[in-house]
Amino acid sequence: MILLFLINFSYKIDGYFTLRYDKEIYLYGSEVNFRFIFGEDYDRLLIFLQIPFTSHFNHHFWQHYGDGYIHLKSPMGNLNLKIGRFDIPFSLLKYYDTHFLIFQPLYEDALGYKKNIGTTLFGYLKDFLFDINCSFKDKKLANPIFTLRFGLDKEKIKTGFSFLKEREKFISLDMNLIHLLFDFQSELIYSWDKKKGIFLTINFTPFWELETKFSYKYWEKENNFNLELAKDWEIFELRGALNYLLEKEIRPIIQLNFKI
Amino acid sequence: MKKLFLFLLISEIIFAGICVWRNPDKDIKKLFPKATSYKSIIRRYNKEEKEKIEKLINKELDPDETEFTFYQIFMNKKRIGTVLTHTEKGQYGAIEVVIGLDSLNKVQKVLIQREREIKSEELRSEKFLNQFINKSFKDTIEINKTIKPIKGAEKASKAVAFSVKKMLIVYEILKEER
Repeated sequence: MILLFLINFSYKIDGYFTLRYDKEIYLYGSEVNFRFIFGEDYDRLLIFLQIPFTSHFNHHFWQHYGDGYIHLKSPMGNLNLKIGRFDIPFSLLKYYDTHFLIFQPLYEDALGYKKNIGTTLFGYLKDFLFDINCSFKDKKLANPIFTLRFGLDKEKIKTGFSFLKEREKFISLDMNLIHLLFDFQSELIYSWDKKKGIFLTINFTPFWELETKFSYKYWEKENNFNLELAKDWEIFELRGALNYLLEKEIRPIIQLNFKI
Repeated sequence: MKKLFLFLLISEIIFAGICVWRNPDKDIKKLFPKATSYKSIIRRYNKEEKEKIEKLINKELDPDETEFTFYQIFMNKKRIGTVLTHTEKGQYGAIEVVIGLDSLNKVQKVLIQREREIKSEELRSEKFLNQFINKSFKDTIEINKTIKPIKGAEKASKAVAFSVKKMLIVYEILKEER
């Protein structure tokens, strides 16, 4: 009896690094991503490994680690299983790419984390999406976090309702609407402890391929406004922001993202 | 600082960005209603292939285009077509284009995946997109010659036409074999 194993293999590497000026110049973050795709049917099994050197990596080299997961999917991609460490599918984190962003959505304030170790089953049927997720904050696999998200994905509008249960319970309503040249993203988060959060951002490119973004965030009686301008020169992106925390000060931030 | 230089050095050989096909299941059904599965083939190019592509599209490849993904579409086990994707800058941001080819590598259908154009409806209309049907690698795909642009959205029309032309050329040069 001969057992024949056919394994096709392909890989991809990409990454970036970011310099930021915020009172001083420092290397804000960097990341290398490895993507391995296995199998005769290339798309069925994907292994993703991300090595980030995040937040002040000058002082904490190698301290952080990022995504690392196995992704299995059905032939048409409408049913997926992800096991490992990745962004939890809660609220805007489901589709909002937080890379390069100076002004982050509410997960930082509400949950205090973005990625977890766990497993998620997700997929879609016509325009309806679902995510069922169970994850753990640490490797000891204690204190499970359950997340449910049901969404609608139409051509110009994406919206979702999320529920997250850990020690505290959260619900959220998120929306992404594209109208004319405006890309509008928002989320409302409410916790059982009566914490409330609002995040709104309007993104558009009026001229000279200059990405302009107005954002507002409210969390725990704190208002924060942000105006961000970004220009992409293909190899690098220059991003400038004026960040304003109500009753405090205007904080200018300049960020240079290299995409070598 | 040594770490930074080391990373800069490593960084020179990394980075690639491709148009993400956000919703394959839905788009495949629009492009190929009888499809039952798909698989993606990632193709990198060599120096000679790069020169050929750039000569034919009359433009340099984007720095992040170090590889291209071709999606093979199947009905049961029979190959029925190919899907190509591309992102090009429009007047008001990126325009993501999905191109369906039939088994003879002719354009079967073009879809706009994402855009933020003022003339969005016209850009997504069959009247505009159907102009690309049956075009192949050998055909001229050029605004004001073979493709009628949308009035007031010339840059966006040009971006879509360029995406179709470029991806047909890229696919023809690189094909799928490794």
